[in-house]
Amino acid sequence: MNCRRARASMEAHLMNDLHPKLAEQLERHLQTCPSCRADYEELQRLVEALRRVFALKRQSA
Amino acid sequence: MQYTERYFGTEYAEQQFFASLRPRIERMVRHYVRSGDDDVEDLTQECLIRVYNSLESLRDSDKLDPWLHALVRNTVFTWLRERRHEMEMCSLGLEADTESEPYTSHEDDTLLYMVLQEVLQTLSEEDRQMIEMRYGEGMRYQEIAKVMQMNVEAVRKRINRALAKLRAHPIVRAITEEAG
Ligand SMILES: [Zn+2]
Repeated sequence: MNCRRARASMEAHLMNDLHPKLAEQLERHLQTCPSCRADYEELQRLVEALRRVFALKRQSA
Repeated sequence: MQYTERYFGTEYAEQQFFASLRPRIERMVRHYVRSGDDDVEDLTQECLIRVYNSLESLRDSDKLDPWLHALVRNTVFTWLRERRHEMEMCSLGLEADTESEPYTSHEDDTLLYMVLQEVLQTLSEEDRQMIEMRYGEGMRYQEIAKVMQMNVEAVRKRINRALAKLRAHPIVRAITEEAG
């Protein structure tokens, strides 16, 4: 998997919505590419924060 | 003030320095804060006071720009944190661990939630709905596509573009990049 494909699959992987075969390829790419790994971690943090935002919104509604 | 005299030589030079600083600081503040002009003005003023009080820590005038950026950023972050308290986030259970050190990742998380709530308002209604379906309801692209009456690929693109917009926000970026 190249960097462009990796970046395009990250969001789906974080949401458990990526085909297992692609997920495996992405995981392998992340282990060898520090730049994509950093990108992935950043995205992960944003997605987690978004989920918290909506969870809190539901709680307070 | 003795030090600033040493730093600028004359009072006139000092006045010129602060006069030229104001619009520069204001631009930096606007980069972070998109709320009303009152907030921007208050923050700019606060930054100027901080500059005045901490000029001593600036030894090399070549480094003025990065120094100024750090000062403005710290001032804005502190202000946002204080405002978070005013917004009574405590009722939502985010107030735990306030005793801990400033700038911990927990603090940044809390700040990130708050900032995201604001930044979400800058998205189009449709984009916001899709982001909420995705991250609030945990819906899959196929399900969102059905609700929005779009094709799956269009949904995927729209959500990823909206996400990129959120990530591009300077505060969101500063916090998410700092992690780890
Ligand atoms: Zn890569």
